[in-house]
Amino acid sequence: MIVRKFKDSTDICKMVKPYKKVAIIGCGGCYGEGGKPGVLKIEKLIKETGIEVVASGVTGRQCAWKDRASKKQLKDDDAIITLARTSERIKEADVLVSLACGVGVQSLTYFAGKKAVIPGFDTFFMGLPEGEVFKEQCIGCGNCILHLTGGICPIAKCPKSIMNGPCGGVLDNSCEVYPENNCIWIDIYNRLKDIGELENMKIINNPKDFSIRVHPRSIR
Amino acid sequence: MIFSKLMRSLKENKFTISGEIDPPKGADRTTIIEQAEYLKGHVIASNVTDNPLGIVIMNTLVPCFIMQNEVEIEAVYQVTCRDRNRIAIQSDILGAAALGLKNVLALTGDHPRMGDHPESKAVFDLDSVQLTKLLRIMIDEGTDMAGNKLKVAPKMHVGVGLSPGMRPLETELIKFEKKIRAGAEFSQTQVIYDSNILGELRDETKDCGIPILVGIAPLKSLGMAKFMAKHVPGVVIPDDIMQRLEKSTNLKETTIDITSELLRNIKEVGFSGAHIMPVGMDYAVGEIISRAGLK
Repeated sequence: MIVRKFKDSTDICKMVKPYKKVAIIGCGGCYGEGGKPGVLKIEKLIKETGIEVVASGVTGRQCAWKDRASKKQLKDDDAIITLARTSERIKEADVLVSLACGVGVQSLTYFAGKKAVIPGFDTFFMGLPEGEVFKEQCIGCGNCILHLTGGICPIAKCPKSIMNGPCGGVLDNSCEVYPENNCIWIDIYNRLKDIGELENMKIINNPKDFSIRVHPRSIR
Repeated sequence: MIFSKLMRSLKENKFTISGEIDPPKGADRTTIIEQAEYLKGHVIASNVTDNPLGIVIMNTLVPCFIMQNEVEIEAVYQVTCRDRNRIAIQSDILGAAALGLKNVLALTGDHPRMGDHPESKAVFDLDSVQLTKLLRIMIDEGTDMAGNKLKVAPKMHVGVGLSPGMRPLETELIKFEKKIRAGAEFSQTQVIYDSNILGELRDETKDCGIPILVGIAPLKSLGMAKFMAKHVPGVVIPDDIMQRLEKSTNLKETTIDITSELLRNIKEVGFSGAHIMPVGMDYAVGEIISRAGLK
């Protein structure tokens, strides 16, 4: 899932201040606060500033395009249909507040016409919830080595993205950079041992090809 | 082919001692000379650190050059992957070789979050194993990493780090073995105060095929000892050392005694040499070595 977090209330108020009529569009994708409770929270916040909220609702996944070039969306997640269903009054809005990740916000941008689009969230990473926190799992490096590392990614989970084993900064199994985390290479070692694949740790992993990671990336 | 005094000493199976100096925080050359002068005649070579902890100090190359040319102590040029991508590292290596540097220590480096510019972008284009492999390509193949021919290849010996206090130790040994396979020629370790760790390292590395210089650092004060035991990864300080520091009426003498005993022990256990990190006690390095009976 894409992990995102509400922007600060005062920042959201500041962003909507120049507009008169606001529509709030939640996102039903990736688990998080982009659904109905989040929409209601932001609606209340914006109404308190005296700005009119003309429409609010939750789409499917805001990012779910079948083909953005021809403006085809996946049927179940058709944001336009959902929006129209949410409220006819959405047409009156001069700004759309998107409660989605950065991808969802930009997805909305493509059919917002002359309406401005505002992000309600800051978008962080691809991750999973662990206890009270969300933790990054994948950086989308484009060259997966999870089969060699016991299904645990050192690129995303080691602050130095070391590909060949732990660094000298391990204190009581913990990472020196984020002491609340285990050294991921110790986790990888234990996992490889458990599944009888410790030999994989002995493979010298060559440097990553960063040429395939130049923004903005596109793949066929 | 042997390019450096350090490597020659190791190849001749002489007990070999290297030192270490820190570049200054400031555009000042005097502290470089001062630190190096204390080491002169006592060590065969001296490391120059590369912004340890990611703290901004002078570029490593400069003290390497000054020390080697003006004080005539051979440099071990520490190179980390923290701040430079593969382009910058290769270009620095070419420059270092042109300046006459003969030894390089390949390290991953501390994360910038540990230092005085935690906001800075960490690079880590390579890690220490990959850097070791890259250095071998430049030295042995005479090409850059992309396979382009270098007009003159660098002539240097490649060293690597080793953390004997790492637990589980096998994780570190696997990585160390990869560094050796990647082409490391010598190793310098994190400090060891504990004789059990020293013995264990000896047992685990006796057939590793490259010389190991075991790290030691004088414990200037009880405070420093306590700090290191608690906060420096992999460092274990035995109770008897703690007690001696605690009871000492002359801390400087006690510290020199303790360090020289550690040094002697490293030799007796059968290691190739020691790497002394003076951490502010540069003036005592000669005395430590002579008290160990290694002069």
